[in-house]
Amino acid sequence: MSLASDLLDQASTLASLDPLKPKQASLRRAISAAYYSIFHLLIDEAARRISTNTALQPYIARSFEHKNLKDAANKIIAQSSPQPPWPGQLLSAPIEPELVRVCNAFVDLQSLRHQADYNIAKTFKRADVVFEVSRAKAAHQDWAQTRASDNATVFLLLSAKLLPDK
Amino acid sequence: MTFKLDEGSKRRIEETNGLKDHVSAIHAEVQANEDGQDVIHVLINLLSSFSISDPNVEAGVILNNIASVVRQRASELPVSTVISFSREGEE
Repeated sequence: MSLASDLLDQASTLASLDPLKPKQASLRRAISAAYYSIFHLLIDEAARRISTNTALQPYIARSFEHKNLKDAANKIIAQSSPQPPWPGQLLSAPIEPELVRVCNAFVDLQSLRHQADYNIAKTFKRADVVFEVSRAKAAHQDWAQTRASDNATVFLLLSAKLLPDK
Repeated sequence: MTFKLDEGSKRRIEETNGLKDHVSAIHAEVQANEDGQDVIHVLINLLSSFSISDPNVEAGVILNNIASVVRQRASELPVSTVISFSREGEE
């Protein structure tokens, strides 16, 4: 099992603990684990694409930044707008709906992860956390279907800052 | 600030595979994100019939589809969007 898969399982377990009276700590950690499961899914894939040297891959993965992945995801999402932004000309239309769903889940879970880890004024409800962990599970499945596409490659290159900001 | 789901948005959501009758309302407000930038936080209320006891892929695909449609509509706005879900009547 990969770290990404283990984190996803952990998120499901935490979201299901104490169903009648879940602890906020469990729900918050479930959101965080769900986000990081997608984060590691994507950076592990990118690292393997960049180098086949397994000794190098962890260091390549470490170089990825959360904000860069979010910016790349937003650029993929924005391709459906009337005037698609860069790097629209590098992408094949239409963008696979699986990739768009992965990007949507990533952007939203990154923000929710910040709230779960830092905003103690917010109370998380179990049902809402189950929704978000479900989105992460779906993102894993969608990524498996779209990871080999040319558009997924462009997304990973954008995330790695290996394409210019135009 | 709260927006009621207009007919155009509702139709686009309903026309997306499998989404019909899941959404009851959409609420939105502008907040600063962790970087201090303005972000539209969209809370999508799901009908109480959209009930799942444990995380599952099928529900996740539906929710990510809804998020895609709503974010597509918000793409004309000059600030980024964060979408989350809640079930109506949930305590």
